[in-house]
Amino acid sequence: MDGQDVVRMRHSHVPRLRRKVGVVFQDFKLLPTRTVAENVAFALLVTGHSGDEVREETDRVLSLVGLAQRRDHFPDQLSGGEQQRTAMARALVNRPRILIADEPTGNLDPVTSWEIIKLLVRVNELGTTLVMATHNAEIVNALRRRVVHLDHGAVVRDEREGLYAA
Amino acid sequence: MKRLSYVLLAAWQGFWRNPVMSLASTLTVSLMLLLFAFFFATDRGLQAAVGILESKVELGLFLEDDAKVSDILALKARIEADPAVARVDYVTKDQALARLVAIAERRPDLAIEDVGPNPLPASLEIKLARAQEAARVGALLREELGKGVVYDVVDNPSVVDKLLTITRVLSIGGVAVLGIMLFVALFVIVNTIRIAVHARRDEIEIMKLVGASDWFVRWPFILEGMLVGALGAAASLTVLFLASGAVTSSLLAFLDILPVSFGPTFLAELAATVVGIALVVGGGGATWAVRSHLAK
Repeated sequence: MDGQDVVRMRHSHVPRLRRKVGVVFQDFKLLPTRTVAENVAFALLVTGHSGDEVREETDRVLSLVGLAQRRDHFPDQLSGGEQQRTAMARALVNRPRILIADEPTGNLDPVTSWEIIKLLVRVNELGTTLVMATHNAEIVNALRRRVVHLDHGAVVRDEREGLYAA
Repeated sequence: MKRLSYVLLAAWQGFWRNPVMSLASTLTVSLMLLLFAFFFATDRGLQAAVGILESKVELGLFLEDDAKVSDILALKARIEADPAVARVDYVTKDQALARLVAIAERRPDLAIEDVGPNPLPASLEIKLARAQEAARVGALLREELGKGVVYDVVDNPSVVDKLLTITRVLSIGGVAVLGIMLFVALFVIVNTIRIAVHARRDEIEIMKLVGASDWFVRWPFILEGMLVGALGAAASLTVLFLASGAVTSSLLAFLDILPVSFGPTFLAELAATVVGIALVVGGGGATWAVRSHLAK
């Protein structure tokens, strides 16, 4: 990835690689004791960014995911979709080259799922490679993007504009 | 700056998130340090006492009244040639009597009556350079008995021997007790930090996920361990300084009238050593506790 062998790399270089990869999970993994803005800023703080930069970048991604109004709410006070958007903001705040979304809509209702998918597509259009794992046939069929079909860990199909089941 | 304040704040929060465990480990550390300080001070005091006693080790030869002065001087020269001997003084019968009179004047319980002809013998007083060789020199001198010059040898090195034995027993015992205490303190600190790590495992997971370096994850916990050590050191030093007056006087009384002095830098040295040990134990224990968690 990015000219680096990720299989044989030194343990101490892993954190730098992770900064180039944003990850979104099915269960959001937000810190319940921190507000939306703090959850997002956390990713910048622990990677050594300082005050003004943290505020600017946090505001930028929060307006990108449409949560600027909810910045001082805690995760418990948000809907599932809002929580997932917070997690996406956190994943994007380090300006990653790749965004990995692991079942991002798994815990969400169909309407909210579509909001998240639209947001992911927009992130992709802004120039970030998006890798999404999903079981949602409807989404896959609607997007008609490259589909890699995995079965028990092996690639069984790879199509440029694929559908859920061939 | 932001990072530093983040790390310090995280360490402080970590300490108070589980106050019972943190205070228990602080107490253990301070007890260990108190024991250490006790052995440190006792060892110093005994060593000073041994040094003073060693410088006082003397052998005495009582001389026959009819020994020839030339023989006495020859014997004196022979003894002085021994490398373990620092100095030999020849005390004549008259000088011995003059000393006894001088002592009697200062002691009201002693009175010198008219003693007639001087009953005190002349003597050679031998100061040793190396107290450990007192036994060998004494044996050598005993060979002079019955040759017409020397009629008695006085040596009393047993006090030094006893003190050396006490010092040895105390330092071996001290090291053993301290070793056990160190182990217990480390164990408690490691467990305290483990609990702190466990309480924040979600946070650590996310930190690593977004690309925080291992050291960034580690520092708050290491600082928390050092905080436990530092508080333990502060507690033990407070107790130590409050008690130091009473302890010093009883120690001096124990060592009797020896003018034992710990030296002007002793307290600073002791405090620095205690704080140093506390920080190393706290930081080391915490590093150990976090290590296994970060390896995942």
